[in-house]
Amino acid sequence: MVSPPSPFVFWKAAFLVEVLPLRAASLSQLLTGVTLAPELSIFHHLHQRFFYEPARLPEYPNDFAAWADRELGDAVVAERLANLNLFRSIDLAVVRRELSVILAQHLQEHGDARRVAAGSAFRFCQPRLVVFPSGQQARTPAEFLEVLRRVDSDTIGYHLFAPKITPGPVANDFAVWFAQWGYHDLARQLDAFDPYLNSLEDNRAYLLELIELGLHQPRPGEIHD
Amino acid sequence: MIEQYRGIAPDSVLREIALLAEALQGRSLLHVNATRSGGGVAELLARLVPWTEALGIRTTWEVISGSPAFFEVTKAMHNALQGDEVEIPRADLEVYLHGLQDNAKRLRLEADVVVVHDPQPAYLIQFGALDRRRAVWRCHIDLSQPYEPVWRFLRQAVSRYAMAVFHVAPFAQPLPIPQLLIAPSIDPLSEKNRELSEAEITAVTERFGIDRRRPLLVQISRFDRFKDPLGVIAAYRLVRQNFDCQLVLAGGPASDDPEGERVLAEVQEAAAGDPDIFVLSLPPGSDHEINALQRAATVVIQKSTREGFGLTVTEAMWKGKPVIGGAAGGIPAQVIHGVTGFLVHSPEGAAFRLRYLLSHPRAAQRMGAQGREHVRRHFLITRHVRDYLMLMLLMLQERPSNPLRLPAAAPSGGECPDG
Repeated sequence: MVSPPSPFVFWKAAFLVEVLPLRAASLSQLLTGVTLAPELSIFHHLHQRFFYEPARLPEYPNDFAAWADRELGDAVVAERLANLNLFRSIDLAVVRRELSVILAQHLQEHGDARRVAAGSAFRFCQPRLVVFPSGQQARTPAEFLEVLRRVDSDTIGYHLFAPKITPGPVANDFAVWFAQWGYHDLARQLDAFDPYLNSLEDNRAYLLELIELGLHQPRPGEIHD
Repeated sequence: MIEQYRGIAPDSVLREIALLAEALQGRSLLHVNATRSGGGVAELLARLVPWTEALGIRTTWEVISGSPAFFEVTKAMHNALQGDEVEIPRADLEVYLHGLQDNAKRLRLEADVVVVHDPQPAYLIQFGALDRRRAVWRCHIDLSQPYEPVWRFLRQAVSRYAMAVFHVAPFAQPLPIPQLLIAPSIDPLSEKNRELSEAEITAVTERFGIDRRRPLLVQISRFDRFKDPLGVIAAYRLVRQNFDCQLVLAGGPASDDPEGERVLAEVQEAAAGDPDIFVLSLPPGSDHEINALQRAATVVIQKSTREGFGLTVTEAMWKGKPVIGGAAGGIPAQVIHGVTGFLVHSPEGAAFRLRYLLSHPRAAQRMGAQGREHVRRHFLITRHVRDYLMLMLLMLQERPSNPLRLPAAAPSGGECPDG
């Protein structure tokens, strides 16, 4: 008999935002900022909107795209920045390169004529993070479902997005845990799911549905829990 | 204290507070500001101080004192830092500096972390009364477009602090110290925000002669030009062409605001002759009346042209009201345009959105509900307490790390015995 995996411990992070001495009033300055900003800053601007409004997917999923449209008035580059494929970008160094390429290409094609007033400049920020145990853990897949229903949306966001800021391979730890239980199809589906296309609350609903279905599928070499 | 907020604030935040407080046992916190009553900062501290004290963090609150001349200078500084071109003569700055020097001798300013609020006491750091490694300058005003000469003067003092804290990113200024953001908050259990019965609300509106059968527009704020009360009257007059509505402009005085009476007189003159405009100068301690007026409102307005954060917006949203707010200061951080209310830039813009909300009561109700949830998540005192505790933890870290992983403490209502 194989012993069951360790309980899944749910974590979350709270943060204070630190405003960095990097600002952009034009697209070329945004490119400079993206090049110089710490990785945590890039992470912050790509994810904070999910946490701020957990029940609604905003028009633009990241701060760069929202600023380009609302302040700079350049909807084309805003759409290009919104279409950044974060799900398939394995780490923040790659994301930074992709952002830089989008901005550099757009500058090459359209120039750098637009400027905003100082008050509307893009402010680069980074989170000062404190990671907390959420107080919730799951010893079995059934418990996992129960906990997933009641944890706050920040906890879900932490597990979906925080792997990008922790050392080691980037993986959805929900998928890793279910794979340890032998639910390999479910684990593959969890790993293939793109959390950037929904609000955190919609992601919760989708995950619950996926896991409920997955737990009814047979699994090879069942582990007794 | 934590238990009083269970079922009101998010459970997760209450748990985080307990874990942070555990990590900060035996530490002390001191707040310093300019007034014990009147204005948002005093109101905030009156609630925050007992909170952290109850968590086992020794918390004290000191208030600077000064002559009327001292507060005339600090009011001029306040206006200049929010963008007015106000020249402050050297002699006035000397009055200010001497006033703070006296305060530095008088006050006890020792604690593990000292938070100095707003420009009035900022120069205390020049007089050796503060340990600058443990001192934070907390700015509550809209510093996005300060009048440069006055900001240059203040900047010299602010640069000596270990850290500066602002409400929102646009207020941050180039400084040689780290700058963090902490939004202010409201206390849902305070007299100003607790639930009221219909009878309690009606008792207050009847006292002021307000007709609850007709739509009521309400702006609560002190009588200050930056709150644009005359712009609100202009918007109301445009709306009155289509709707038989009433307007309340209500505010109280603050001991550090000598300009308030002049603005109040201007507002009374503009409203003269209209029985449906209620200009209410409320005495200190009118929290119950403010609560009732906000709850009686059909729509709440906060048409500021400059704003620190705009806690009256938070209060109104907590009461489930759609808010029309000036796109200034911290208001855009609260009012999600088209979701919890509308952001406006002119009396005409305010009138247009008021007409929409008065003619779409279901949309108004939906926005109000979304606003309440937004406040629950981001702007209750519990989130604020947690942020202050995180700030303390960051200030007291011997070896800074980011992220900082908090070890699990004793369970506090969660279900994971070992975290």
